[in-house]
Amino acid sequence: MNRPVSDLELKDAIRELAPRVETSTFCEELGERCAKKKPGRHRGRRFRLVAIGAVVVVMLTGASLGLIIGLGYLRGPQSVIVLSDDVMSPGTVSQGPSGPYGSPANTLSGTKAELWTEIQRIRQGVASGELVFDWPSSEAASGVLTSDPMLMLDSLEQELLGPDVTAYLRDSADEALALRTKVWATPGVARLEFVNKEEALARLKNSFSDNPEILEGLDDNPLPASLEIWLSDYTQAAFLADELRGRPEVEEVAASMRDDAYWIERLDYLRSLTRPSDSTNTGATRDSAETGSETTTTYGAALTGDDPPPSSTTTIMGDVGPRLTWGEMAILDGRTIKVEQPVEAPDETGAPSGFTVAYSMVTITNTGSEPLICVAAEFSLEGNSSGSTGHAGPKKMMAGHVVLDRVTLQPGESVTAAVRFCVKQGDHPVKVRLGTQFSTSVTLASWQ
Amino acid sequence: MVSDGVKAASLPHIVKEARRDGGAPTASTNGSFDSFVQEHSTRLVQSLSLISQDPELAWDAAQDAFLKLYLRWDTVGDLRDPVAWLYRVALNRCSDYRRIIARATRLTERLESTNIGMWVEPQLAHTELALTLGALPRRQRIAATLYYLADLSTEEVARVMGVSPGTVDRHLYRAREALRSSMEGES
Repeated sequence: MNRPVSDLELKDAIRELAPRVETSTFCEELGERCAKKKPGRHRGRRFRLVAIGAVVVVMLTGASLGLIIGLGYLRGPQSVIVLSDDVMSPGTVSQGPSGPYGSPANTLSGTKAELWTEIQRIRQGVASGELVFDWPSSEAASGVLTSDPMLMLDSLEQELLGPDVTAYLRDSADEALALRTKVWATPGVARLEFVNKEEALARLKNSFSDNPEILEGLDDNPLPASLEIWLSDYTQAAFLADELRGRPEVEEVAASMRDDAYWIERLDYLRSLTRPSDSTNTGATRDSAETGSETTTTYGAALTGDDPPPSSTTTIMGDVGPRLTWGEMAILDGRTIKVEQPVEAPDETGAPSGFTVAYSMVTITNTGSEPLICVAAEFSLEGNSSGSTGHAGPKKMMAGHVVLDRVTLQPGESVTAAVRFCVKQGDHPVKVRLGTQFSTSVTLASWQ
Repeated sequence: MVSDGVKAASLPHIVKEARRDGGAPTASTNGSFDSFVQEHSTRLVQSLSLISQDPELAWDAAQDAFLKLYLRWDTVGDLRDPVAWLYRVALNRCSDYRRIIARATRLTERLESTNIGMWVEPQLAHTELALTLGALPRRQRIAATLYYLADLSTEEVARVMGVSPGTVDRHLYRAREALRSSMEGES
């Protein structure tokens, strides 16, 4: 039996792997690059003061705007969602200004959509004073790029909004109209953007604005045009990338390597980033009473003492969405939602190592008296992974399951969605959270 | 093939040129930028090489990161952890290169053609351990490399990666399991 490898041995072994570096050459080159920087380009103290002043002005403007938005939000109609065993009469729902639908982020799905919602919740909460950053002073003072939590939110938003797949085109492809048409017709493509060579160069210059000498002496534009593609299910990026690689117009394809685990980790981190403000207690409250296997939960509360107008109610989702055990049923805004026991599909590929693909059927029934429109439905398992839904119907087929696009449920009608999960063997999660997009899926007109 | 203990050369160009420019960057006035580069350049390039699996890209990213630090050296005191800052900027630059320049083949060729010589061994080792490290999920590879090679603490790695120390511990645990089992298999 082999002797266990100690930490020290592991450290030595990893150091053995490191390539040899000619540090003197490194220093010489760095010296030459530093010398090319003219004094005017250096960020002296005066520049720094001006920059700080500008940032303060922008921040104050932003904070004022945030305050106005926050106050507007507080004055506006707020939501009450009640989940009970009784069928409720439906309220009215308006779409939040920052949700994944009706915003520039309307192509986000799954955990990315959840993350986007969480970022907006934090922004709104901080602006209204309900939330404060629980930011360790050591982090804040560390000076690393994440020292400002708002900057981190900005950065994360940018990352979320990036394309899932980018196809770099050969120069001979010109504007690749045929390919663009074909890609746009591909199931699951939610957004497509053509970036021509000039735009690509402008982006590159912007990216290297700190070190413009890198691009000095560039006589012509060597950058290719590209197609940037956003998918309704970002976990399918690799499949589309493989298809595009076979096209003659395409020189190279880059697919986002961010897997779901990456976004879940960011989401966990964000959720630990804030805490309710000590001085306010106006946030949504949650009372839960569990009796046996049945759960009756009231989610949310009016943020002001005023009764919301009957024609407008905003649903608060995200963390306060219902949590159901397998086989459990809940009612949400006039919809009955039932989650059935998952069925494993151990032969199906695509699950990370140690995980198995499983499907669970979720039935959504309109038990209200008005038509309901479900735009999309996303499900995530606590602690493990997430999946997106499809429903049985002539919808877009992608990698073995159907993406729920848009379905209208008349009173009494149902739709059954197959939810694909990756579960860990022998460690099945017992809870499923239903959430975000249900809240935005009901049109205001339906409730008049 | 290790460069452990490689004594970094001094930075005559930096000091000389900075003085000629009027001493704008205080690298010349306090001299500590030189020693900072000497102290961290080797490990930074090595770490980025293992993380990106591309030594030449690692070299460029490390250069850019040091240059950024040089330009703000007069305010380096504002950084509580300049090393974490350096690694984070360099890792971000790696991603930039990957996303943009690495896709523009001809531009990459142009950049390579301006290289003075080969300063980093272009090929990484192909031992079982190297292959295992290269096959680790990127975040595990970053955590393990920064912890074992760059000698950063768990807290520093967390600051570089923008995650909590607990998350770093999880990545390290998984990486350690895989790497150890690879080493045990080899022996």
